[in-house]
Amino acid sequence: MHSQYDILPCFPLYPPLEIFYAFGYCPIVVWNVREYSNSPHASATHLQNFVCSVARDLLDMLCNPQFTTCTAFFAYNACDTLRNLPEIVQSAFEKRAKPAPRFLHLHIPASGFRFEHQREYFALQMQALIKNLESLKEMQFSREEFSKSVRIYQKVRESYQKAQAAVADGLLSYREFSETVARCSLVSPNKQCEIFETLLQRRNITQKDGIPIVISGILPPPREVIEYIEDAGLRICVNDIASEGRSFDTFTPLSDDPIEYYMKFYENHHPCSTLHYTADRRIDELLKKAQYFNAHGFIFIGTKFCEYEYFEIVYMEEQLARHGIHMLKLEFSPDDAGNYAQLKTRIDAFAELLKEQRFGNERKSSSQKN
Amino acid sequence: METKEKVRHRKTESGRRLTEFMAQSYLRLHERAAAGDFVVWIAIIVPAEIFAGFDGVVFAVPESHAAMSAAKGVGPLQCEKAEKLGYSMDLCSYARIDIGTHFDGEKDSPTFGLPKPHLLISNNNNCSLLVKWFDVFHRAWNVPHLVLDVPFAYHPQTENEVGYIVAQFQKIISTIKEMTGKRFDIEKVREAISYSREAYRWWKDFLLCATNRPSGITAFDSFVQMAPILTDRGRKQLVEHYRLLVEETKAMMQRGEFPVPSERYRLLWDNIAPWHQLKNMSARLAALHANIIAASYTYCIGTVEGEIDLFDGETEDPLRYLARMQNFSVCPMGKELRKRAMSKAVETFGIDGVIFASNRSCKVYSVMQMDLMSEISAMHGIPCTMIDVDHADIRKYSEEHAFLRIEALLEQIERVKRGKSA
Ligand code: SF4
Ligand code: SF4
Repeated sequence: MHSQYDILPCFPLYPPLEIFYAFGYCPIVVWNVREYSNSPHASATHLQNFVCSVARDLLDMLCNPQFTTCTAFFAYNACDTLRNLPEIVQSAFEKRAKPAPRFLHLHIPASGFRFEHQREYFALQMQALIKNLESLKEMQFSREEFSKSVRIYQKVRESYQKAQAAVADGLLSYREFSETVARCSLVSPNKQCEIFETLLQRRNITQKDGIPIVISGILPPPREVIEYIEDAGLRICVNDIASEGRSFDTFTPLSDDPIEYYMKFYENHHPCSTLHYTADRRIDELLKKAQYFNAHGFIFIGTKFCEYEYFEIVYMEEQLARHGIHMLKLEFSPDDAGNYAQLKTRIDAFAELLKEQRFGNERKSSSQKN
Repeated sequence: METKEKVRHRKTESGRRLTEFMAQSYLRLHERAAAGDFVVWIAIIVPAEIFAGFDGVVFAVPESHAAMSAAKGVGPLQCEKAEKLGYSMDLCSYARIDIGTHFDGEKDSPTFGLPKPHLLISNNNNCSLLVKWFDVFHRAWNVPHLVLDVPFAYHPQTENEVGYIVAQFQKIISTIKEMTGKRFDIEKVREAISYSREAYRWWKDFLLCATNRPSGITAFDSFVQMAPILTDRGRKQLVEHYRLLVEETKAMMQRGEFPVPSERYRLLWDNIAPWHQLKNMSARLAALHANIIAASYTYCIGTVEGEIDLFDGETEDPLRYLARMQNFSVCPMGKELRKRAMSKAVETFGIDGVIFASNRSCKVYSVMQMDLMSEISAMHGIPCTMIDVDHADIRKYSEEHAFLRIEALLEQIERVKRGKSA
């Protein structure tokens, strides 16, 4: 972590990073941060045991003494758990005799930007956010700095995409890739580009023959589970993990106007259950990608208690089945850390099923040729 | 109160009237839908009064249907149907009941289900789960779905927010106009609002019967009696129902009839009603001389952010009034606003202790309760406890566990009382 920066913790997944960086903050997306949670877990005194692990880890991380010096944090509207979290974070700080950090907020219109009132309201909020940042940092907003910041984050996305393409081509292991992405969320954008470059230099042929699959969920699977997946001969070609593919797959036209930029950013954002109320576009996008990579398998990485994901998965399963794509549903709860061995058998069985299907298809097409 | 206090056992006249009212309400809904009216399904807080501006438009409230199903004991049965379709048991039980019912052809519903919608309107201020829940029907039946996007209230609504919400109401109105070809009359909305306002006034009077010692009501009375507000907002019949309810409750108090005459512990309930436990829990509490006399779930009705008094502003502009009332329930409010309202309730009702019903189905109500509990307890010096209750799925409730905690709470209250009197 870069201590020379003024760290700005942000949640959930798609905060307006560029504007914060333009104001001299190092925004970090507090997601998938289990390793930074402190023990005993601070969240246990603030959150019931049915709260998802993302929210619990997030609170634990912010209560970690490394972070209790932060003066502000940012959150936008998402699920029912997260909307309550900002005030809980503030209480947690106060209960530890620390000054509560300032809560910066943005409400992203849940039903899009098609209508004038949605755009107007969003613009008013962006203006208020900029004003708050100006007063916090005692500096004026600069279009030039914003534009630079937009370009840097664009480079981060490009680097991410190159790395993901290497995973899809079997030139990098998903495990290495996923660990890199997690590390990147806590450093400055320039550093992120460097880290990705180093990763790309390590490209070599790992498992080009693996069976292509789609992986989807709020968090990537734990390291052991990734190993089970890759060892079973599966190759993750389509990444629909919220903190990975969904976070980096959106390219917004360069602009020095934050209102225009973020309207386009949120409106055209890669489909995500936490950002869009309807699953319509999400399934279309996934099917398109799955077909492009000829993926016949889909592994759902369920975060227990995440309502957003569990509502949509029923429909997705139905649609995927109609297109001949099998689904394996795995569920991870905050309490089963390290206890994944029983998943190996299920993953192996799933891989067998896909292999049989693949060979069946190959046999069918060669007999048709003959 | 001079008369000797008596236990109020029998079903009250208002209770009988309520059963009749709800039966008529659902009957009317089905009849009008069958006669060709345009049916809108709404989330509870969507401003029902708007539909009064159109002739031939009716609204149905899936959450209310789910609550009634739970109270009538069919909650788990309908939940299981949804679970069989793949919906996780961790999802809100209202949603599971509703999905289970409608995808099973309305079977086992106490109201013969709901008539199929022409339009779905959800909102994200009560909870954002509702939006996903309505989206399921939108896809299954190819019915248009509007989302009323109401910013979560960390503070009382700002002018920008009011404007944004009003613009969305206008969108709802224009959508219905386009879909039905019907005229919209704002004067009828104004009239509907006046009925709702008057009903809220009587509702507040009813809740204030709890300030008496012993309390003239239990929170359980308020749980069941709130149903017409959800299904019939904006109708004249609502006013009459609540006027009679207040009259009858006061008359009973005059006669010295109270739900818990031996009341020693005055409790406050925080969360949705435990629909499957209404009789059980109130009877068991009464035997312990305890009465849950008020609940955040019902004292919020007719109020806005952090208040327990009636919201009486915005009398001129109907749509602005309805925009303000988008924050009338507890869920759209942040912790600080909830704490303010709860503090006022503790003082107004003379509360001895609070039961925080932690409800894993309803994260929006429950996440924050741990902080709220410690803060309320410290502010008022009153004991509080937390029990696990799913509001509609009895499979996720253990009466023995809950009562172990409640009995411990009563002991703590007793110690506080003794300390005070010493
Ligand atoms: S995992 Fe789901 S429930 Fe948890 S914070 Fe994310 S969106 Fe919310
Ligand atoms: S989650 Fe809570 S607020 Fe939302 S529908 Fe369920 S019970 Fe109602």
